[in-house]
Amino acid sequence: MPMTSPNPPFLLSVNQLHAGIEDKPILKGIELKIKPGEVHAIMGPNGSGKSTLSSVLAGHPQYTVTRGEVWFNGKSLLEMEPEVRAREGLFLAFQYPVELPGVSMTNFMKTALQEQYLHQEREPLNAKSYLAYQKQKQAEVQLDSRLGSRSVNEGFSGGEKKRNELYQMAMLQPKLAILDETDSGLDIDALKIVAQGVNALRSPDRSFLVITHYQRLLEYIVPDVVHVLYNGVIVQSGDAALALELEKHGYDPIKARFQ
Amino acid sequence: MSLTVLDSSQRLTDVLQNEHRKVMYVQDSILSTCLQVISHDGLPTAKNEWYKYCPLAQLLRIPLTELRQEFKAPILDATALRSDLELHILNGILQIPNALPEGIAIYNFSDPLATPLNLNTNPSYLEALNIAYAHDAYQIHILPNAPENVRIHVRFAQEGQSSTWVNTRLQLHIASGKRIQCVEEFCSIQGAHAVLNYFSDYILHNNAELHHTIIQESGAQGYHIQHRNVILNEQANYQALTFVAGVSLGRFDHVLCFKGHSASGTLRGLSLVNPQECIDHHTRMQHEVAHTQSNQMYKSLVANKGTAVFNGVIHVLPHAQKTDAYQSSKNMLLGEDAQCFTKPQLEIFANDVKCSHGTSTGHMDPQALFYLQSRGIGKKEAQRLLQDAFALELIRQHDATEIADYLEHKLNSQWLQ
Repeated sequence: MPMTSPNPPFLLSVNQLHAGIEDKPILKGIELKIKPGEVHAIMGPNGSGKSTLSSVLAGHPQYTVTRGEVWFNGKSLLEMEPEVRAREGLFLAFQYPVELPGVSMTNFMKTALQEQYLHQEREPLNAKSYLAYQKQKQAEVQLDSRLGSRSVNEGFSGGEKKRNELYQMAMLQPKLAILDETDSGLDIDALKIVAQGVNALRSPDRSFLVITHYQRLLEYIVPDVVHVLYNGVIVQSGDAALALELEKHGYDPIKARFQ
Repeated sequence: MSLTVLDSSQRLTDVLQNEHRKVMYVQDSILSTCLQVISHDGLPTAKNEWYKYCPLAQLLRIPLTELRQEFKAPILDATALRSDLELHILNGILQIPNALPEGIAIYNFSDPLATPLNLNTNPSYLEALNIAYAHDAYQIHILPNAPENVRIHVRFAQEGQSSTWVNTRLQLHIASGKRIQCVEEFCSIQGAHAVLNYFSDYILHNNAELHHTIIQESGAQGYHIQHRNVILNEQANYQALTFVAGVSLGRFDHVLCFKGHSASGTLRGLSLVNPQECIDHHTRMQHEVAHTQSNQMYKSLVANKGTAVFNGVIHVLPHAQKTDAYQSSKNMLLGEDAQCFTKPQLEIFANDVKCSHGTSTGHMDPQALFYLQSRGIGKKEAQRLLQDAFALELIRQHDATEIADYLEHKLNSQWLQ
């Protein structure tokens, strides 16, 4: 019998999460609850722990969790290997997508889907239906089909890499997508395209956790809840208006209040 | 330890002196030089800079009493590779299963029509051994009237125990303007541990082209010493891929001598080193005249407790201006106790050349591994994908698709499990 979450209505429930790298504590008691279909944004100054939170949720081996628990879709997330978290429906769009020379996009995504289907006890896609599915998803996120036949991220521009993350998200159909500073390094046109892609993937059974330094991205991906992360703790939460307020006053008032 | 080595070396020499199967295909003067080298030198040890990481001395711990035993020739299965001429060299003896195509001649070195063997310098101990105690030695001539793009497949196999030395030599002469594809494949015979001491020469006349693939099949348990010497005349082009998928001890020397202007050569090497194995590549690019070009790319995947060695010399003589030479060696270590020794060695005596090198050795990139895992791909499968990508880069550069596919199949079915 798998252990079940005490809070079934939440897709993600993070309770008192403490984590760090080597001996350095970074997250110092995160509390975060996301319901199915909700879009949450996490904002905060540099070094507040935003990227650490996304890495810890995805299971990056570099980070150690020292305290707390995370429930994902009724299961204890922290006990799962990174690949199991992905198969269970968690997706991390990387701030810096990794180049994999020699690993073809098709082989990569096909392997990922096969493992996911196997995990979910679904009938695997045959070659023909896989190709049709791939084509459909590339069209959905407007990924150039030329990129789809290349090595993963190799020689992709910044914008192409981010769009490739969206394509992988569209292929894997996660329950929760974490976007780690997806806006970094993008010009305004690329940003709009990425935001459109995300909006197209919004659905009542898919939640988003959008991590960003700037409010700009949130003009295009309108969040239900905005959290402010500072010094490893969520210090303030509110609706989309909170993001505008931060844009106006910067992070200094927050820093002053919670120093 | 060193006493044992000397002692065994002496015994090896004694046994060889009593051998009666000598093939006297060289002039008496060369033979006596070789015998002198054998009686004065021993097998190179770790004290010899060129054999520092190549534990040849372990060959001497093996009793040599069975050297004169006859072993039955192994039987080779049909091969998936298509060719115009298939040759078998079994226990050092050539067999030609089918008729020779027009324009191709094969001789023993002792044949009056054969080109005599010439040595410019004193032979090394291993070459002296090879010449003086050769089972046999052969020459293949690609004549001007040979068909275009002849594909030759030479398959080697040794049946026998580790105390058996197989000394064999092959020479390939390619007439001007001829383009040849040659695959040398070293098959594994279950339970065979023979020591193969193989020397080969490739003489490319003006405008000749040789596309060369050397395949050391996976699971071979023997000891392989292979020395290839390539002579490139004007505008000759040589391309080689050495694919080593496992051998207890493999030492591969590959020497290219650029003797004619605009000659070019590329060496690619892919080693899959299993635990307890040592695969040692030594290359030498000898640029003797102006306007020649060389390129080297060596990669190895080294399992835990395996050892990979790459030593690459680029030697540019004073007159060899405008030489363009590049060398790279990349190694992926798959365990804490995997070892890799890599040494680029540039000896440049001309002042207007472009020579460069690069090397990298490291474990699998943890970021790449995590990226794959974060998409639901299990750790083992992710590691396999990354190894596969690392190895395939060189295989995919092969210009013969059929051979590239053959190697890719070997890679996936035999090694990357």
